[in-house]
Amino acid sequence: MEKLVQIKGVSVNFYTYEGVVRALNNLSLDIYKGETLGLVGETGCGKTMTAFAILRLIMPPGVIETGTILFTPNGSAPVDLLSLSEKDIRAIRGSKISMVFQEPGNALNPVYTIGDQISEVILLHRNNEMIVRAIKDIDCHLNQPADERNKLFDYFIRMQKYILAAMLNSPGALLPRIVQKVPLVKRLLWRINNEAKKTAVAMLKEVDIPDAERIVNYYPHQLSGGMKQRAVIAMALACSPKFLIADEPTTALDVTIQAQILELLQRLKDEFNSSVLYITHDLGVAAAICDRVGVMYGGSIVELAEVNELFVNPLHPYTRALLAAVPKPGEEPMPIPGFIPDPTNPPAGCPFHPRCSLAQDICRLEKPELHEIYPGHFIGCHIDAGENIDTPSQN
Amino acid sequence: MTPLVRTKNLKTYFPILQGIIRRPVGYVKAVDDISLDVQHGQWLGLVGESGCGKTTLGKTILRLIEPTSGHIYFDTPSEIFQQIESAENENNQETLETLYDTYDLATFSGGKLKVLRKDMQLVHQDPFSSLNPRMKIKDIVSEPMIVHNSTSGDERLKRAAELMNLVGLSEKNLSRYPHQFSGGQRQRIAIARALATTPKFIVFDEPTSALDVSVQAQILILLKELKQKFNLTYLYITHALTVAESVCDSIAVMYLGKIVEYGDPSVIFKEPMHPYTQALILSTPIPDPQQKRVRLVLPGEVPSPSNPPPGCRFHPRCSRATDVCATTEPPLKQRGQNRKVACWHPLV
Amino acid sequence: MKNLRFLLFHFKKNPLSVIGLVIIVIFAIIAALAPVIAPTPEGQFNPYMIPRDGYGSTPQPPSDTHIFGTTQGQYDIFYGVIWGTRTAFQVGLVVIGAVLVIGIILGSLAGYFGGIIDEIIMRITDIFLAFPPLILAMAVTIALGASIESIIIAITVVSWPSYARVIRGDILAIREEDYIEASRGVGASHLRIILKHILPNSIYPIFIMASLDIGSVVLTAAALSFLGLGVPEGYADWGQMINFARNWIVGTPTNTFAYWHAITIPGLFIFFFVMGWNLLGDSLRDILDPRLARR
Repeated sequence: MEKLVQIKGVSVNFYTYEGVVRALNNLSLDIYKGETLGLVGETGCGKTMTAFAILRLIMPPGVIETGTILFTPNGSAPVDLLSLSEKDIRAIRGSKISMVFQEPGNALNPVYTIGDQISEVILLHRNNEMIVRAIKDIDCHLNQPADERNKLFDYFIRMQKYILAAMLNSPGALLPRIVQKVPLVKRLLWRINNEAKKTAVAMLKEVDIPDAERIVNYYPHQLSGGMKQRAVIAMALACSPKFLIADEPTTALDVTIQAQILELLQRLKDEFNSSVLYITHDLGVAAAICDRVGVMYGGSIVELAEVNELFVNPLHPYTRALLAAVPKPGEEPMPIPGFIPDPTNPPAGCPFHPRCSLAQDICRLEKPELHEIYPGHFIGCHIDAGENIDTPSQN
Repeated sequence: MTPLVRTKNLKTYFPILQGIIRRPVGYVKAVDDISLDVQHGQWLGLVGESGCGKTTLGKTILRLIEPTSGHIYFDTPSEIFQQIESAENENNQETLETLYDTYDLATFSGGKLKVLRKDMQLVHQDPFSSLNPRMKIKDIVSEPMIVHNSTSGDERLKRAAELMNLVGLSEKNLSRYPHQFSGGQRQRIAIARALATTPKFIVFDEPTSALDVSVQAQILILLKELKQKFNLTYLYITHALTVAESVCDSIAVMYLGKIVEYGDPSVIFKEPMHPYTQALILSTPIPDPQQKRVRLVLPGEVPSPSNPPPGCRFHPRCSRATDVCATTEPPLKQRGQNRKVACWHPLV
Repeated sequence: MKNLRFLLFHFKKNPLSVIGLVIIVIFAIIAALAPVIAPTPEGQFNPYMIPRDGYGSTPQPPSDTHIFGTTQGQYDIFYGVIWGTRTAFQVGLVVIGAVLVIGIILGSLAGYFGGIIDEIIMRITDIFLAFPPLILAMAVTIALGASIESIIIAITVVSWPSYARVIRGDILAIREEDYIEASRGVGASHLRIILKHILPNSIYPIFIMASLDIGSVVLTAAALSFLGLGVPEGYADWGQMINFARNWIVGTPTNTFAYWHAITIPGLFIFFFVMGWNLLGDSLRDILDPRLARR
């Protein structure tokens, strides 16, 4: 399998009044083409930070200290996202890599319609495509039988076509630049916006929003939470990204709506042939839609395996404890003793050792490296040779 | 058996105000005609999606929200229920009124309500907004004691330390501020405050939904211990069916202001009778990829409670709906022992 | 201790606030030591009246007897600005104190109880806010007669409505918090809820507003005095001293800056006093803002 994103040794620190918060601690992770990789973990374990680091959305006082993130979209040479210029990374955000956030209400601007917001993304990244479509539309009009057309109007349309063609062929030339800037003349470009709007409607249909032609003119507050999340997904997919980051997209939703969104995401992932990084705290959701799952704790990955393997044969003590803590029918949940460590003052050695029942001296001194136990099954734990490991699973 | 808490035909409507003179143009029927018993020592789970009225029901029972109509009884002897029933049958308004005045919580106000508040407490969903950020923990935990004038200052402090130990926190924390604690610890403090007046009945409004699973398990175990120790009765409001299933004695499922199913968790989970309960169970993902359920995706969304569909409120999303569902509302009927369901076409 | 360190951290991050604090402390020392710095001449009954050296109208330049010179009417500028500091503090602090008390009481009643109480109080504030503030203050001063007290009352009357409004708005937001409901749930009285839970969480923005406003209150008072409406003639007040210097801004035909001291010195005192409070208020905002606090 080809690797789409390779995260190598990324560390992120936040310099706050309380001290330095180590949000990501030498994190390494590969994401393959066409897979859904789940990142699970508790609050503050760094799962959202991983997503933000990939898109370079970390704001001061946060700093990406070390590491590289190689992104290899179809056929092209890998680029290091962390060393790109601000302009180049902006061209990637929303087009090749896009993100769906937890709170759909916050991700949408309340003063613009759904259609405006989706169009904005499309015009930002697919402007040329929209121009080509607008020209085609004009040609289609001009090819109609002559007697059905208005001659004066014809002249006007030809002028429009000329401007559009100029924009396409030499975007730096004087004419397109003037037309794009001068307020009233800008109206000549309405066909481009029209095409973007049409694409927006198509996207809304894609995410199963009923009556998309009407909904496209709605403001966010007129939609329910589930509908808003669908609109956000439509926006994220508007440029057919190769890589979609979903940060707890269903946490704010009810279970019946969550089931709808999960099914939608799974279908769209196959349709767009993209990879998904699915961040969640809900192990059940991860089990339902992910191909591989990484468990995070204290800013690093502690276990990473194929989904069946991870849930059937969890090896890291934290993963086991987490699974035991999930309430299941007829079973009492088993709590993990202690609390999540203070991020400004993490314990030395393995971050989990104060809560771990198997901790030994080495755990208090040395941070374990992530290493492969079985093909495709990685853990970051010192105690992997002894009693911790049961018989390997059969798949 | 006499219940500790009984609601009868309880309704809580919120007016939708419009125009300059704030005229009500409609009502959000958050709690619509609910009769529910909570037995002594029961841990009753109230399950439903957002907007189904579960929180409103809990807060109405505690009289933090004014009921529109209906009755709430708390720790009322069974003779009184008989008297009320006979008075209702005879349509004896005078006796009824005096009985309501003395026993019906819905009519209480002022001092009478304050006395009652000692016995029933609420634990909020979000531990980050339920503790006053500018008060020390000792002031937060001892506030109920101050309000009810129960003890002197020294004793209050002693009791506060005792309460902190009860919920698994060190008494050294008493002079710290809420922001110095994590979500789980804050929820423990909120529980300590609820226990301060030795109540009989506690309403938990999604106490673990803002917490991580490992901490959630800690809190659930703590609640279980406290319940046994002090012989408490819980009304546990949650949207997570799995949580309710693993800890509650009984479960009531709510949909759009109505209770649609009631029963023992193990039975409800194995053989749900109401199609909505079934949908809830099947929509909840479980952390076991090999046991992938036949995922049932319920079409559509919960309708607005200001304008619920006629007949059975679930019928527009229900695959078993027939004509009768669209016209007539199904009553909550007893079906087998300790089992009630409101459906014309139950699954079992 | 921890609070002190937090304070120092903020002051370090924002050196301007230190400047503000230093300015205000210097003014406070001047006000406190006024009888030592500028002793009242023997036999004068009211120390706030500026001693005058004759009745000539032309201001005299600084000299040994009058360090800052004299202004129109031969009033001693040095004595005037030093004792004027006391007047400025009096006006600023008393007005802000009174405004805070009125604003907090009315604002919390309106915000907490809502309904008809809210409606009545808010309509009254609307009436007050409908008048141009300076005109209203002038009218009140004229009605009450020229004295420092009438200036204080006049400015209080024009400034309380905005405080009541801000308090009410903050309380409306705090009222919906869960801990208010939790407190109701244990049976706490309205008074207890307002005093223990609502005010401690909503009062800080008002303190910030107040510290920023002290400067502008002093400016308004100076404006009233400048218009001749405030204090009696000869009272130690910066506004009035500028009023005296009004005719002497432009010097003699041969020397444009002949009487510079008459306008500049009281002007600088007002300038630094107002700037000091503004800088201090800004830093208070940084320190007291709960969103910034100890993240």
